[in-house]
Amino acid sequence: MKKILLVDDSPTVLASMRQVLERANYAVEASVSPEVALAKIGSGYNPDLVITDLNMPGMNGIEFIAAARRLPPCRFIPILVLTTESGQAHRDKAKIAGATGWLVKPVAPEKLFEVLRQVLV
Amino acid sequence: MTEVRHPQGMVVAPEVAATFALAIGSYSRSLQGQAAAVAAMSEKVTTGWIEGVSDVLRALDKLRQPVPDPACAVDLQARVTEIAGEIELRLTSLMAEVQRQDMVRQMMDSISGMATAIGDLDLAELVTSTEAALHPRRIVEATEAGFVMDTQREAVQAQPASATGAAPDLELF
Repeated sequence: MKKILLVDDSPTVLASMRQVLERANYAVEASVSPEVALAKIGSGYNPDLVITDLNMPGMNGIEFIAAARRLPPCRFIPILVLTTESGQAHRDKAKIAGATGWLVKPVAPEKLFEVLRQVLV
Repeated sequence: MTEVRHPQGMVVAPEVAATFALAIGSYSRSLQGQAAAVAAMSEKVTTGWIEGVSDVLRALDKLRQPVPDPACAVDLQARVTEIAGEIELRLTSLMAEVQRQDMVRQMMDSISGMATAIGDLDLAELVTSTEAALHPRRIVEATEAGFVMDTQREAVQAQPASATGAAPDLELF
């Protein structure tokens, strides 16, 4: 079973995505902050994929991606940004930080699964 | 020319008053645009939930309809599986409404930030120079420069979405 780490400051978004992904047979870990997510990875959690929000209090999604990429478990896995932002400037920053792809909210489950199939090969 | 006076009695230079009027106008339009974006998004969320619930109820109604041949267990099982699949698909699609609801929350946070910033302005300082009188405009600029979702940004800039050259909703680097 593939392991997915979700990072979003909205507990409702996390809960709904967890529900949908677990029904599709993914093992989901959810973090309401990038700091908590980094601590999880630092303490030995090895996700197969990370999906992160961008606009979060404290550390933002781009800073999180850059920090996660420095940790061995996240060096080569896909990291997707799931955000309300669609501006090119933010996309470029995320790409430089190490993001694998960019999804604009709201994203329908079918679309999300299609992307997961592409990046989780 | 009519003399402009600050509520605390001091005379305000006409150019300062004019600058402030333009800046507060910009602030006001921005706030109105954002409030309109929140209202539109809230309505979309509500509509999404209502449509989702209606679709699920319609699928449940199908389960109540008499089956052509109750003796045929295979057909019956196939029918139940098909309708259950329809219901599951529709319920999971409501994940998008949760995300829209989160967008509303972020928009409200942005509006709250702007309201707090204007409340924190020092009225006595505002009338001292044209630069100081521009503060309401600076609040709008700070909102635009921060992490503001694009729907909100469009409202801030009072531009139609089609004029912004929208980027794709999905991109793999």
